[in-house]
Amino acid sequence: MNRKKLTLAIIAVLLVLAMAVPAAMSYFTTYVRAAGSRQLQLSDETTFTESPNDKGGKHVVIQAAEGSDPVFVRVMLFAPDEVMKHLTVSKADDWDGPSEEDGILYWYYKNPIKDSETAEMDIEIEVPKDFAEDTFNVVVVHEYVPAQVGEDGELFADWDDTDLIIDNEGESSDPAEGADGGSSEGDSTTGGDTPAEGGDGQ
Amino acid sequence: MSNTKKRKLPILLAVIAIAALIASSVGGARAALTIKSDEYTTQFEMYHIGITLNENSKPVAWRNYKDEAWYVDVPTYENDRAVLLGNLQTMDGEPAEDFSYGMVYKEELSVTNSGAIDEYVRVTIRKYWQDEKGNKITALTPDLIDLHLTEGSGWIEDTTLNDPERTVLYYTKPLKIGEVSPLFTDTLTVSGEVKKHVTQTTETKGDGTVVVKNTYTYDGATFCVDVEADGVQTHNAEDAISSAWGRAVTIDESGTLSFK
Repeated sequence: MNRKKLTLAIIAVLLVLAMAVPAAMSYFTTYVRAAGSRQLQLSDETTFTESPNDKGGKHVVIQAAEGSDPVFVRVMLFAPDEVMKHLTVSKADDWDGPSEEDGILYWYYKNPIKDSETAEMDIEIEVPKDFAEDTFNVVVVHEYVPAQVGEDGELFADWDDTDLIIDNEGESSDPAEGADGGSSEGDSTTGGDTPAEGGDGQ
Repeated sequence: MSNTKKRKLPILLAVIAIAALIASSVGGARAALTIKSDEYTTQFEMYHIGITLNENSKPVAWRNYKDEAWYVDVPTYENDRAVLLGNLQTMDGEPAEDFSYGMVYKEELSVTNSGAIDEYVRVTIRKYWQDEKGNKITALTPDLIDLHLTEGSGWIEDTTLNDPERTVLYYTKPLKIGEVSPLFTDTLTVSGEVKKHVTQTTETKGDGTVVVKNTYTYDGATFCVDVEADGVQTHNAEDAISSAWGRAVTIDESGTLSFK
């Protein structure tokens, strides 16, 4: 008798479960799925070279490496004030400047360079005959920032927000630890262009 | 009356009662079939449910139930998945030749009720980065992938499920048969900040030449966008949504959905 009751109880439970299952599955549902992806290729590199020119100054060449993404470049010139007064930059049509920011004179190359393209500048100096020093240095420093793409697709340089985030094994460090205020900065090439070296003969 | 007859009487009555019950229900069904046979066919057709995902006004994938079978198709497949971002467009609607970070692309996503019954719909968006082997890179932030959500379009975020990688949106109105939902995204931009995660090296060579090189954390990384759209019947919707999607919702008299 007990066995019969147990069997009946099991059957009753199974019937209840069987009724519950179709109820849970009885809602009409559907779904659809789609996915997309794009790979980013990010690479830039510049090379800075300078050489004395025949006007007592320097010929400066900044070249983007082969395959490099577009970058914007600028140069800073450092020299004694008396020299700076007599310093001119040729190929000025390609450059904007000088513009003084925090006491530093900047020249900005107008167009982005990429993939072996160059930005070139001739620095000419006419040192006054009464210049007191025998020698002086003109130091040229170049910096570059990767070209940003505007919403309309136009390239632009963002020199105001150049803090880099130096990643170390996937972890971002404090942006304040970025490289010297941000933009890619080539080792300043010590000018060494004394009038004598530049052939000025002072 | 003998004892045997007395014992059989209840059984006989029970059999008669069951037979009468069955007979009455059959009769009712026959009567309904006779009177409403045309409507019976119509009711059967109404149980078809379907959903289509649209990108820039074109269907990219759909899944419709019809004639007791699922119809699933997409215009293009890649790794057995329907393809998004296959035809990137600029904001002018022109084909985009290359993908550029920082640039804003048109990415208008919506859902169509391609079934034969009204339905409530939700979408789940996932954004993440993969390496060249297809492994997810959790160290790179999905925040730089901006699949911009529309505002005031009737879609609401289920913030209990949202995380940096996943966004779940519910459309608050029932989607009628054949109706296209308002857009739930309108643009796609990968932030130019990908260019700020960098390791920089500077080398001065013997001749004074200075070489500066940036190596980017995101170089070679693939950003992924994965969208799933779900539909569920409007009949008994609160229970249906709770059962199918595990979300407690309230449907008011006008059919507007809100989270509990």
